[in-house]
Amino acid sequence: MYYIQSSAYISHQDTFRKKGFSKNLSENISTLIKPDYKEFINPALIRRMSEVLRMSVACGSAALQDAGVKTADAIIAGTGLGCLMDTEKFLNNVITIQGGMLPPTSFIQSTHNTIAGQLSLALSCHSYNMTHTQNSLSFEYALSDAMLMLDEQQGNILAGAADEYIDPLQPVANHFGLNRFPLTSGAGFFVLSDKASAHTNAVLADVLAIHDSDENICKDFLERNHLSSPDFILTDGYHDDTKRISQNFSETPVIPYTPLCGMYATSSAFAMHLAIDILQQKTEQVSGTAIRQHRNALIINQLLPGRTGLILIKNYEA
Amino acid sequence: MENLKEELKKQIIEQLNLEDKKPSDIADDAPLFGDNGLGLDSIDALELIVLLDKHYHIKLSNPEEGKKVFNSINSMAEYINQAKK
Repeated sequence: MYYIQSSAYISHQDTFRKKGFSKNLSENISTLIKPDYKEFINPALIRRMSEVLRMSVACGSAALQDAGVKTADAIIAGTGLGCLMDTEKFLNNVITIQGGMLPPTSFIQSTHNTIAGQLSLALSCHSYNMTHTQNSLSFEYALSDAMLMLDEQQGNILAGAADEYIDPLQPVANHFGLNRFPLTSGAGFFVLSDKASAHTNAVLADVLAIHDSDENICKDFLERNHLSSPDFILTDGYHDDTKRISQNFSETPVIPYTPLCGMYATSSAFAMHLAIDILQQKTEQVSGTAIRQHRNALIINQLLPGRTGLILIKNYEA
Repeated sequence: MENLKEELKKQIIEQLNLEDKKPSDIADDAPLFGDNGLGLDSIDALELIVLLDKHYHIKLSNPEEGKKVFNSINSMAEYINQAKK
């Protein structure tokens, strides 16, 4: 069993440290709703951080505080496209400063592993530090890594995901027809532990990341967890593959999460944060969908065709 | 000279992302590095080297020279003026 001790998420919904947000989801997702970063990040460090780093460090700090954990035993981050703002800045510098010296900060911070690295510096956590970048399955791979670590050792692992929007993404999304929902940003971190505590708010039962979209994947995944169907499903709801899979559970309430958070590679982390809140608060109506039972939730991520991410969350009651 | 100092302050604020600072917050003779001044660090020193190259076409390659040049706004302005002559 992997216990979720805390969960902190910044998104285009009012999710950051807002228990019960699943009861008040907004249809308007045009703006990223962010906290005062200075409450979580040293002002001397904040000036060099792009939005994705600010979101990540604020969520990582808040998650540790909320779990009552001083230092994480590992930091594991998932990101589909990494630090895009710094990458864009760096590439613009390459173009404008032709052959001249380039400013170092945007280059240093443009790499994908800057997120976990900055968390390590900000939180003084010098142990295992890993970044998984597997496009739309990055978060699922990060969770799998955290679970493998917890199988081997005791401790508290800070695992999460982050991705940010920059304007040049829009024409790319248009070109590939990925423009049914707005492109957005989001970051969130979860403290996972091998033991339950007074802070535990849910259980991470199982995770699967697979480069396949066969309709039996969900059934097999649930069977290995001794379930025939989940109490409710959160699905990206983008492609027909996902609809086909969720149709196998005709009695189960299905909530598409992409319309709620917008589109980015690691939005299944938003779904996990939402699932935890629904289970904890026993939310009965989510975005017009009635939920009768609150024992478990299945997250189906098929944002990119041919790839499936599954996360099974269970309710925790001490 | 005063115009150059004002311009330098604006460029430093922009290049180093000193979001909470205004040019009037930076005294001409205040140290740029260390706790008594702006509190800049080694990465900022690299950014300042790039700033001199980008805006004034001055290449500063001797690290010992850098310590003197980047002491304050006064010393930076002085160095730029000398280099232009």
